Amino acid sequence: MEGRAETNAPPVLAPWDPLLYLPKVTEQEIAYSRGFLRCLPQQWFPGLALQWLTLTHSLGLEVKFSGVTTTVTPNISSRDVYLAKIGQEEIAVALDEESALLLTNAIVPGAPDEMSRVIEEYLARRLLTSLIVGWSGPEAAPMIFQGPVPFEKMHAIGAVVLNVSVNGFSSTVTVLLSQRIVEQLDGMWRRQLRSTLVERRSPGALDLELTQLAVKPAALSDYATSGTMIDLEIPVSDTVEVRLGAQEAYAARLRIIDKEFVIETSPQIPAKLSQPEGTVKVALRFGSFRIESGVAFAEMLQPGALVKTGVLVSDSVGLIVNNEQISSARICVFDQRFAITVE
Amino acid sequence: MASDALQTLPPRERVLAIVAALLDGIEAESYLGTDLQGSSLGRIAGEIACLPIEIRIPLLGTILRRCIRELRASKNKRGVA
Repeated sequence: MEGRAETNAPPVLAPWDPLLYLPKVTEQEIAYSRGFLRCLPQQWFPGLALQWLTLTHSLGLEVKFSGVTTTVTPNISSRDVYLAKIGQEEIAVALDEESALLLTNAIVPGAPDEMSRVIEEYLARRLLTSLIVGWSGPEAAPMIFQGPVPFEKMHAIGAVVLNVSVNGFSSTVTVLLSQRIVEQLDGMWRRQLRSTLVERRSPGALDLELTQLAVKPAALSDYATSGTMIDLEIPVSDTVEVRLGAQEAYAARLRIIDKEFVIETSPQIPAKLSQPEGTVKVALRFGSFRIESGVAFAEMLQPGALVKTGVLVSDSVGLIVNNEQISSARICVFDQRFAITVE
Repeated sequence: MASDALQTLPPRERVLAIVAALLDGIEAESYLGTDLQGSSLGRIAGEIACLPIEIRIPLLGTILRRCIRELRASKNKRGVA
């Protein structure tokens, strides 16, 4: 990739304001992004599906779990949730109206409203009990079912969302979790990840870069000349590159918390810079940050993991050649593409 | 007798015990045994699930219809009030 310098053309530039272009994340999303939000909770409930097999088979239902996800921003539209306590910790089942109708109708087609609500409660109780029975983690306190309560009365900070297909129709069942349960699952996932690690040393400094350019030596002076506008010829997006030394690069998406850049690890592999012979590599760098350990680095590499960088939110990048900053530039938007103006 | 014990429950809990017994049989006891009010709901569901099948289905069907009528009547009464 080589930028195109346009010193004489009158460029129509708009400022790239990161606060407008980039999504914001919360401390809670960051805190659980490397554990709870990445975990596969179904692996801790190995016999769960089996506990529903006899019932669904006897009713002639075709039930498939089509997805299990975790969230720290549960979106609950149901009036009531079915609450239980495991020791002092709260857990609840929530069904949105459509899903409740689908599930209760699958069990008793055409059930009167009074009965549908009871079937809904029984399904919630049954799910809560089968979760406890199927739990393969550390021993838990006995569960006591509390009954239906308004969602606002439950202190849920996270949830496991089960997408269930019943006879080909999709429904959503949300299992709401209190903070301690979320922390427990978060810790279990992170310990599991840690146990498989070989390299535990810190990888050192990582560079947060918008992109890299291959520039002909003759054009390099443009990159150090104040006022030069360079069209990067890449569409405006939140995608950035995190580089570890000269060889390793990871794709990430840029996020913001307060005045700091946060990276969200992306599953994509960054496109390798094609560097024709005789060109010089110019990195457009927001800044650098350290990862304190190999464990933290492994956690960061999970797609979706959020990591604070300590790099202040700015529309400015350093232009780096051979690890030396030759100038700085402001990021702009030019015809829906990124551009920079050298400062 | 199991059906007498069932009659001691409020209408909604009666429906719950019947639904549980019809869907899960004796297993219903464990699914309803974690109740805040104690284990009687689960025990009753387990007992009615053990009734002979020739009695169980017609008896539970009759009680269920009666319970639904009661629930509907009390809902209507609340609606009028």
